[in-house]
Amino acid sequence: MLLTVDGLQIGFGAFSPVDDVAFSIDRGEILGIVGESGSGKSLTATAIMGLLPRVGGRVMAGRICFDGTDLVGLAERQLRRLRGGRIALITQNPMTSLDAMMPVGPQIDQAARLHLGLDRSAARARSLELMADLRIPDPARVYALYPHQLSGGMKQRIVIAMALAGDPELLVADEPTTALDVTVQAQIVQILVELVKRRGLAMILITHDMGVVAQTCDRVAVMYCGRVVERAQVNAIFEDARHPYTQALIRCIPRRDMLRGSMQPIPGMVPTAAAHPAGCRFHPRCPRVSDQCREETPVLRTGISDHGVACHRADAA
Amino acid sequence: MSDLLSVDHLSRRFTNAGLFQKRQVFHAVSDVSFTLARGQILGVVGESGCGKSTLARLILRLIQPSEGSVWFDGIDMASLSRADLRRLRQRMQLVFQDPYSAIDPRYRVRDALLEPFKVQGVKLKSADATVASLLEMVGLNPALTHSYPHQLSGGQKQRIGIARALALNPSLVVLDEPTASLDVSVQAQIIALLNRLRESLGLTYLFISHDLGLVRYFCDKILVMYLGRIVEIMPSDALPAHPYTRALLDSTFEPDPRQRRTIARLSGEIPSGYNPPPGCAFAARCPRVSGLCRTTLPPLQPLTDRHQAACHHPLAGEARPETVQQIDTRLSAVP
Repeated sequence: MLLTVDGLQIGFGAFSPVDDVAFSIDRGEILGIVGESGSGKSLTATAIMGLLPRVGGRVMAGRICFDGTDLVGLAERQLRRLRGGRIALITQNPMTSLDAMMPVGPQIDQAARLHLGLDRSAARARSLELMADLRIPDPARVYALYPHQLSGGMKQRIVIAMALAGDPELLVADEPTTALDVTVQAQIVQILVELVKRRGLAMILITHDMGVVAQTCDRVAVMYCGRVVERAQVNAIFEDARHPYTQALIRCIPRRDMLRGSMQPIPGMVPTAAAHPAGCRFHPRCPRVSDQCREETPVLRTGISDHGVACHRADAA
Repeated sequence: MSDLLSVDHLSRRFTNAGLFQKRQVFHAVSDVSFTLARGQILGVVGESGCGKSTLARLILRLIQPSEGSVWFDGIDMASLSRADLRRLRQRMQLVFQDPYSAIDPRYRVRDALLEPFKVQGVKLKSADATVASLLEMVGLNPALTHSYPHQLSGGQKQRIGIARALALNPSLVVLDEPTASLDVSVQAQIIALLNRLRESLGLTYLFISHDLGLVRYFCDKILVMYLGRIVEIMPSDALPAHPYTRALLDSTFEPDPRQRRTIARLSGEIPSGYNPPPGCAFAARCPRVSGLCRTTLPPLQPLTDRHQAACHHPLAGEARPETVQQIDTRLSAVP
């Protein structure tokens, strides 16, 4: 396994918005982390990138093992060498990664110069190659443009090129297409999937969109209120979901063949990190709740297959 | 069934003339015509910049059209005086995408719900009873009466937005991406609420969205826009005839890993509304493009009595649109 996260707990002051999160990912694989606002999926990504201190949080417990090295407790200097190099991040809003005052091409060069030690002209050649690879038309012209001269889809391609410039092994993509139009989203998702398969990368795809998950991921971890409630192969998640939350989430998506009025919303709302209920955090909204659910926190149990579910009431997988 | 809303050759251009800029004309909405029957839900779909939000504001006459007219319940809105227009607006309401900016942050829920009555000068017998019944109508706890917007979740705020829109008992509600900033489970709640309210209050909806999957689920009829023009009007269970609608449909990610497909890659991006091409605006990205498409604008033509497309080369076999159910049956019959 290239990356193994185990028992990850994240603390912000007195709160733990992420608790006991575990998953792993290998080269050539796409792992989807899916959840709604407040599920802790983006914080998990932030922890993997070693960026928690920048947002005021810290790892309270657990390990984040990347290729044999535990990233938790690693010195900032060593983290910086990994970040943008062997581990790269793609964010939702391209402008959080791009410098508005600088042409986009040289911004792609930076990672290659920093992490691969290339000189100016070699880095430029590499950037142009990456841009062509991402199907950016006329790379030599686009290289000299500023971010504001590019469309949203083009900017996101530049951000992907920046992430690839340091020759990463692990890509962490946090809602990479959420801000884009549907036809552009389809293009970008396709590009990301091709990259992973062709270059043998590992990608953690963080998203709220079950459609994107179904079309791209190999394995899926479903998060609710800071915990992984279910983890399985993508087909198992959609066809054989065991956790009542996963089941309910799938029933919330409008499908082509559904009749109007047949979509079944989940009653109630997601509690904030300050008000996580005791026991199973989904219990106040769960149709199968029992007394045990109100008191005991269910742990993620894995049966014979690698289908894990954290529920007292689910049938064993 | 009579038409509640009739839009006739509606256009809007914006002129951009800065002090040091060249004068430029932006074509936001061009030659849009359609009707909406009472009790129906019309979905307006398109990507950013296609003019769908401008269309909504033109219909409500929050902005003036450059050409064309809007008829609401048989009344030409251009013929109304300001006072008459204000009165008519009670019957047509707008729900915004962003529930965070639609409510004054200094207003408590109660003030926000009573604001429409104040604006229209409607006297209430009991303000408390009105607030309580509005909250109940949208499924909110009466305990929220004295809360401020920042104390509410996104879904709760959108419910307040809907309650405000329904306060004056309108006939037409224009919903501009009402669920775009919400989580899926909250979206499902809001859509279920809108559906229930439509049935119980006999409302007519104009539902604007970028999500074709959601529109196909929720709406009776779909209007697809591209660069300010209608490219297709169709029943929501029909198959698209316009290659752009087809591409939109192919770009939506079905939540089914067994139905994975290579998405027909649509190259290029939407042209600029400052300088629309002379022919079909989709020509540069269209897989079925011909020389004719680049020079001549295709008119919106009927394929059936309920299906129109603006395309020189509509997708074959679509003259009699096949429903999704029919296709499923046909495909499942194949061994």
